[in-house]
Amino acid sequence: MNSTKPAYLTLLLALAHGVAGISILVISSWFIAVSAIAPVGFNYVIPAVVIRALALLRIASGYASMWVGHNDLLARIANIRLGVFSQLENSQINEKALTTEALAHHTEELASRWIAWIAPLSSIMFIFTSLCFIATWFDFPGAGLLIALFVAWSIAVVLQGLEALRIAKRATCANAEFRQSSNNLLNSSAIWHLNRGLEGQREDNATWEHNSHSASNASTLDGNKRKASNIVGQNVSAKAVWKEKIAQKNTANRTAWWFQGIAFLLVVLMMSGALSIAQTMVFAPIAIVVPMVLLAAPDWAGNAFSSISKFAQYKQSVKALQQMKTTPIKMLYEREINTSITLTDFSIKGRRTNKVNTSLPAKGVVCVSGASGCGKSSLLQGLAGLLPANGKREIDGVNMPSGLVVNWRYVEQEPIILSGTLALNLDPAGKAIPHNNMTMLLQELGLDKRILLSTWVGKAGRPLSGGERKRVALARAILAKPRVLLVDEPFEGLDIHTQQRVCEVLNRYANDKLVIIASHVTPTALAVQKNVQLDEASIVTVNGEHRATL
Amino acid sequence: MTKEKVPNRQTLTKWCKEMDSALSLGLRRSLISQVAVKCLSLFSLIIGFYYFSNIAQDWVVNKTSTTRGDIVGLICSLALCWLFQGAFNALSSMGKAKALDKLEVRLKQVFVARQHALIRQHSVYYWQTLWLQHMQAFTDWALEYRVQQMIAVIVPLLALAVIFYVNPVIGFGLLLTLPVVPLFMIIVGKGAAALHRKHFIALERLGSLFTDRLAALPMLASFQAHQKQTDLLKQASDNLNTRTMKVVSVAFLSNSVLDFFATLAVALVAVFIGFSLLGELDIGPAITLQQGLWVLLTVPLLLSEMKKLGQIYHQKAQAEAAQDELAPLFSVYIQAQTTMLSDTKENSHSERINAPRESLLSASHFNIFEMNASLFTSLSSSTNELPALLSADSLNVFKGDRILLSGASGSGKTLLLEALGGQRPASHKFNEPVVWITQHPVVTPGSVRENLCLDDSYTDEALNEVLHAVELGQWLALLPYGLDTLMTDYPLLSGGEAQRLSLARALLRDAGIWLLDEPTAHLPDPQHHRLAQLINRLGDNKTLIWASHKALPANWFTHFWAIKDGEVKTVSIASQSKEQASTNE
Repeated sequence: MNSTKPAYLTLLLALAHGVAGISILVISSWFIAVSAIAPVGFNYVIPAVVIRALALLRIASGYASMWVGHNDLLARIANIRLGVFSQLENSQINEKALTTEALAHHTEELASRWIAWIAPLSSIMFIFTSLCFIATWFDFPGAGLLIALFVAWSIAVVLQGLEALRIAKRATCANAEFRQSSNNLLNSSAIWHLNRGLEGQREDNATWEHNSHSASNASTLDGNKRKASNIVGQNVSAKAVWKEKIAQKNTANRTAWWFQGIAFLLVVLMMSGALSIAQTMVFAPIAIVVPMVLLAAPDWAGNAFSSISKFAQYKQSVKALQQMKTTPIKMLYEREINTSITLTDFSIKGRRTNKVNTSLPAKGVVCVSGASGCGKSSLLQGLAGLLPANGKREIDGVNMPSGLVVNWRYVEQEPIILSGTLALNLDPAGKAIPHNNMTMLLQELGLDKRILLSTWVGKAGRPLSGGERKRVALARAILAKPRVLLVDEPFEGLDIHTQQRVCEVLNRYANDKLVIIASHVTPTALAVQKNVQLDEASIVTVNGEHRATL
Repeated sequence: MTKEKVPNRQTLTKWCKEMDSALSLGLRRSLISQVAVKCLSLFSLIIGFYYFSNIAQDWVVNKTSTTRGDIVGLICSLALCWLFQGAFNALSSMGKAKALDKLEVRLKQVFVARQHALIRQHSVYYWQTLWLQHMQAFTDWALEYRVQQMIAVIVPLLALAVIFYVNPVIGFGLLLTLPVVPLFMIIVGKGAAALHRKHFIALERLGSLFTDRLAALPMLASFQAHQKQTDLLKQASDNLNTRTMKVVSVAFLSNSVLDFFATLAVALVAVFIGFSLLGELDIGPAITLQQGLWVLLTVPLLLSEMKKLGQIYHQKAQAEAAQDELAPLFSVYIQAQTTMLSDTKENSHSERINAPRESLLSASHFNIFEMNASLFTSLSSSTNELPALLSADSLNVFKGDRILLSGASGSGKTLLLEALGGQRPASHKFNEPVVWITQHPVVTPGSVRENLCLDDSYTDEALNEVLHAVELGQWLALLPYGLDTLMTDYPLLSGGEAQRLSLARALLRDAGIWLLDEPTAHLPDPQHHRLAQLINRLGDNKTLIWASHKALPANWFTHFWAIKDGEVKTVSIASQSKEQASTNE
């Protein structure tokens, strides 16, 4: 693959950077030692030149590796994300926990593997091996100690790697648990004031701290009791998550620390002559090389340990991405509707809604009404095919299998506005819809004239009010000329005058198409052809089948 | 870019100082001890270098084994360095854990004090990010970045002092050739700042584009717009990448400057020492191998700590982002500290205590303030020049009063109830426990019993009784496990039933005041009438303040409040019913 080339270049440059660094140290110390005893005929010019050349090499390779590495990183992030995005064509992400932000983070982690851990780890590995090899080959005094340090380093890396993976796993669990419990806590904020325990905190925090401490100790409480305390918020704490994060850093620090200890110990062993390396070589300038390398080892080999933590995070991200569950959205070709759409025992899977039996005309405005929470918007989504449903959905008496019908459009209650120009938002598929049509329709819907088609809306753009978002989304759907238009709560957040305009647009569109509107208000201007009243779903009204699922 | 967003933002350091003293996080102490221990560790290492080069001198020049003293010195100094390093690691992780614990306790205090009035302003995801990430970003910066920052200043000075002591010529040379520490701080600071900020923003933008389209997946699917959007995404990221690299290439230079000086310093010092030893150069005092090696070993310390600072620079950018969110939240503590000193007598408190017994609230010059106004001092209208969100000349509530609160949506009905319930900073609030019933009833995933009891305990008879009182008896009978049926995330309740459940919850409590915030807003009319009658009947012996959009019989109420243009007014029954008639039209 072409994209690995810059990655290998990064690796090579990082290697050059590392090798140049250690070489400067070794050659400089040796040079000084040689100079001190100044043997006859010693050519001092060459080492001096080599040292300066190495310095330049180090600087250049440092800059280059940084540049190439980051360039590669950005390209990789773009590639991976595009890959993930294309994979997600016509599918939905199932898990609530896997927020889009987490996905962005995971892909970044995946892309940064070269500069985060592959390059540093392999360059240190390479330097270590070659140092050991050279030391043994030329029989430097203390070569054995160098090999011993290499062995110690390898063991430390492996041990830390295993530990880091374990911690990363625990961190993921802790994170999920925190998300769940804080979700429950924050969602119930409206009834906190009824909590004695929580109210008490206003006066006395010391006792509360004590409580939470004992609560976290008694982690083996049975599920019910824990849930109860979750509501109170005593047990909700991000401590577990932080603990794992700090632990990850600590293991890296601790391993680096032990490695430093071993390196120092080896220095002492060598310098004290405890290991009798009683050779004639001992007092030659070359003898200074191995102790220097050992003494500096924590600096040039210690980086490896923080790379290991990144490796663990990388592994965790790979796993998270692999486990990402998506459901493909089945696309159905549109069928002409001659007389009617019939729903028989239609209900949304996994929701407690009543079964719907009704027949919808081929054109005109149909209004679905009912109290909030009775399943109006689920019904609309089920009709459009965005939610899996039980029961039958028939067009002119022929059953439609489950799936999204290509030319039916659902307008969400909380519409999604893409970060981009207004024109892009109105024509997301690039169907080259004439700008004239867009402005006309927006005017009819009473949208602020100051918002131009070239205005950037969405994130980091002009903020749109709830009503404006609704109308933009409605315009987007209408411009796509759907056969069936399903609109969820179009009148919420609109004043009476604007409601009127929206009604007119909807009425006109319903002349030859079917428009289904879910709303708990029905403006008089809306030419409703059929009204579907949904009853409240409750254990009293839903039949016995749901009781069995409990 | 971030700077433009908040022009009058405090600097991070100043804010941190205020936070530290107001919340007693112990950041300063932890910071100083960490820096001291780390410096001791590095100082021991420099001493170790001395013994190391002594031994090398013995080996290479004197051709003898070393003296025992040098070995003991080497052992001691290296051991000390190692132990101090260990202590530094321990201090660092302990300090962070402690600060985070304290921050969490404070965060929960703010939550408890402001409750729903605060939480409802943002999404759950926002609070989770704040709780989990922003607080950690702040402590990372305060206890890691700042420690490294101080070390990066002190250690080079230490190293330079040692080099001067050994050989003034080299020391002087380093001082001249290397732009000295302060200058370096600027280079690193500005350079790395620019680099990281740009890099950070680039990654952020790429990420936000990606997440934006991800969030729109179902919409894109239904519009068949995936292909087009993929192309757009690709184009945008390519564009952004080339632009970023252009900027970053320059910014990388500043990082390389450090590398340049660090490497060159070692190389030049090595060559200088070598030539001096050879006698080729004769500047300054004569040099020995021991001195030369000691200097050579010490020189890297001049810049290595600075380089480490560059590696964790992202912490600063993250902390700045965190400050934007955390500062308004924790400002209550910082203000509390300053106002506590000036404002000691609590005048409004005494006023309330001396009021006649059956009066629950008698407020003149009632004001509601911004959310991040002080948390602990009682705000009285006379001493405060804060702009009021909502005010009233006088509000009186007596026991048994039944007040209908009206006003257009967005006029501040909820605000007033929140203030009276004590969840918002205001000049007056009820001193008795209140019960809130909100638009959206809360049903927790636990059992029915847990939903009703929360952390109190009531007998099953009491629970059954209230459930029957709110007409949920039939519903209860149909539940498979009765009171122990779990409600789960999709409770088996209609909107009206859920509101009844919260009414039952309220009935269990002996609070005498009910604050009703449009409890029937989301119900269809027949449901609304039934529930309203139920509330009216059950709340017979309570003091009620009922905010409602929908029509309620005027004879249920004794007083009428109306909110208009940021002012609460008591209105007469006649004008109330007229107003009601006009809204019903």
